[in-house]
Amino acid sequence: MDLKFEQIAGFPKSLSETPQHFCPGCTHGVNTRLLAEAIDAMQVSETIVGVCGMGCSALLPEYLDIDMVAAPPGQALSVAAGLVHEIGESGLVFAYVGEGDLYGRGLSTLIHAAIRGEALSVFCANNLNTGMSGGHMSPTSLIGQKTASTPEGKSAVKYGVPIDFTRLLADIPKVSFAARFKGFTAGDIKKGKEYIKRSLLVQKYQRGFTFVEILGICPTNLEMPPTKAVQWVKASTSGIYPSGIVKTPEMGRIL
Amino acid sequence: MEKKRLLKGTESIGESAIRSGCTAFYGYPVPTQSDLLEFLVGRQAETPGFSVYQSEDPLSSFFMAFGAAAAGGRVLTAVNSIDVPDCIRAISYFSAANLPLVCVVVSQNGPGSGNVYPAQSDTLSLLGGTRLGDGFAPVLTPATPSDMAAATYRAFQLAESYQTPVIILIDAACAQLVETVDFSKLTYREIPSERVPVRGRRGRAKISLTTLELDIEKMAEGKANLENKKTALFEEAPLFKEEGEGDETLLVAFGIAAVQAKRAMDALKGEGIDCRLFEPLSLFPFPEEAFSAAVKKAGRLFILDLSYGQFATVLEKFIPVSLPTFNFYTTGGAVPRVEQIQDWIQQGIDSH
Repeated sequence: MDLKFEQIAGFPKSLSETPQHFCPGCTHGVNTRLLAEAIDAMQVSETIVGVCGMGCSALLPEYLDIDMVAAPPGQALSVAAGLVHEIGESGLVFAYVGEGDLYGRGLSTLIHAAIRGEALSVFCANNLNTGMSGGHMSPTSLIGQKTASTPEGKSAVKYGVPIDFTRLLADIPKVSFAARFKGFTAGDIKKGKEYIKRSLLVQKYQRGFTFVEILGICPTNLEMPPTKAVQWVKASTSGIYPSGIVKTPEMGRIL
Repeated sequence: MEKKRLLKGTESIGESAIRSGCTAFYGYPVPTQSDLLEFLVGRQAETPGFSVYQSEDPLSSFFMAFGAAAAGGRVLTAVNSIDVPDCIRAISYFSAANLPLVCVVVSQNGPGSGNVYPAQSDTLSLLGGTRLGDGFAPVLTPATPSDMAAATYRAFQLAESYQTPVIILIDAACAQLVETVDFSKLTYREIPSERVPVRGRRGRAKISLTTLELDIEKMAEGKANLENKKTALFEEAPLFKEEGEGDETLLVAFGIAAVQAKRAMDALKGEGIDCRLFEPLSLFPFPEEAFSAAVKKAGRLFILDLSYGQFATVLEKFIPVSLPTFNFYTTGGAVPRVEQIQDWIQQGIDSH
């Protein structure tokens, strides 16, 4: 009997073999691989252009084997919008930006790109701090979270209570798809890959604006071993940054 | 034959941009430059392949233009004085990424919000600011709508051939100056582009367009390339205009100051006083040789400017200490009147 073997898993074609600079336990490595796998599954590696923001995501062009443009801090979605305008329907554009960049100085560009409904897939890596700068407070840092700029813990009195930006975006009419998953639990990672694929599909066939937030861990700046960081982020964000699909083109707002 | 068109400064730039093959204008409405946005919106429907986008703020219009330029677009933006800092930040990125951009800067009165009346007080900010991180951008300074049309084509040529951002610096008065522009006198050849657009690999190796470089040697190499580009640009003769017959009395001005100086010069000629007007059409690179030659022949120099001596600072190194030099500034938004300039020149001549 002849046995035929089919490869069902392997090194993603769109992932370059360059060693990554991410710290041990960091979620960016998982995210990068998920992006590569989704690009391969969609067979769009020849026509897709990625944009990365500033910070830990800024070296993504080295790790993905696709065309990429690195944007200045706060301007990733402007750059991505310009690419969308010029490339039109002949390609896909996505942006991969950290939350310190996207929800901080990039918030205006994020909200306006969503309002205009640019045909764009946005992936936000939310790891609760501005990693590259040395672990300072970001807009999604939790109340009481110790960061390099809030050594006594983030104060709600001084900095307010962090909000769920994914839900905020889901309220914008032209946002077609919005979801969040944790990039550090097996079940969520599996779901997350589907979210990424789905957001690229919505962009390809419906020219919609899609948004996926990937909740991550930053063991280095949390000053915890990865396993403890997973437990801590899971426990402390459950009520604030829940996983799941928030909005789809078919059903509208769900959560 | 093509008819002549009555256009104001900003409109002439817009019309010329379309004829130069501009694919997109990214703008944000601010007084003194929003006329360009309005004019181009009007031209959009009849111009296939050209689009106008209004952004949420001036900085994002620069970076939308950055994305469009990366994908192969030929882009135009415009700001006024208030947003010169955004312009400088953008120039640094376009310069680092070797991407073409034509940016119109309309100078109004400052500092702060100031007023929307003309000024020339962004000269040093632009000449210094565009060197942020050792980046650079040519700064063209046309005064009349006809010169603006020519400068716009030249700006797109420079932007494309050097893959660099280019600034067209005008003032709020010249932006409103109305003139008959004869486009048949200008030659618009198709500007070739040698860039590889970032639009997906499509069969070639991937492109990573980034301005981040952590390797010191590679960073130094990138900067050296930029510097070589700047040197090559300096070898192209920068444009200028010289008018009048009298070598002895030399006037130097650009923008609305040059327009008024020309009028004053014509009036003085009626009184039997011959002057020469030197008008640089580019401040970076500056027409050093031509200006130095004119200075050598002059017995006295008159610098006319709408700022507290910013233009004089640019000229300083070309002026011998022995040459009697007179500065005439109007600020606050006032344009120097022809009679004022006449009196001032007369006094200068009388004193030296």
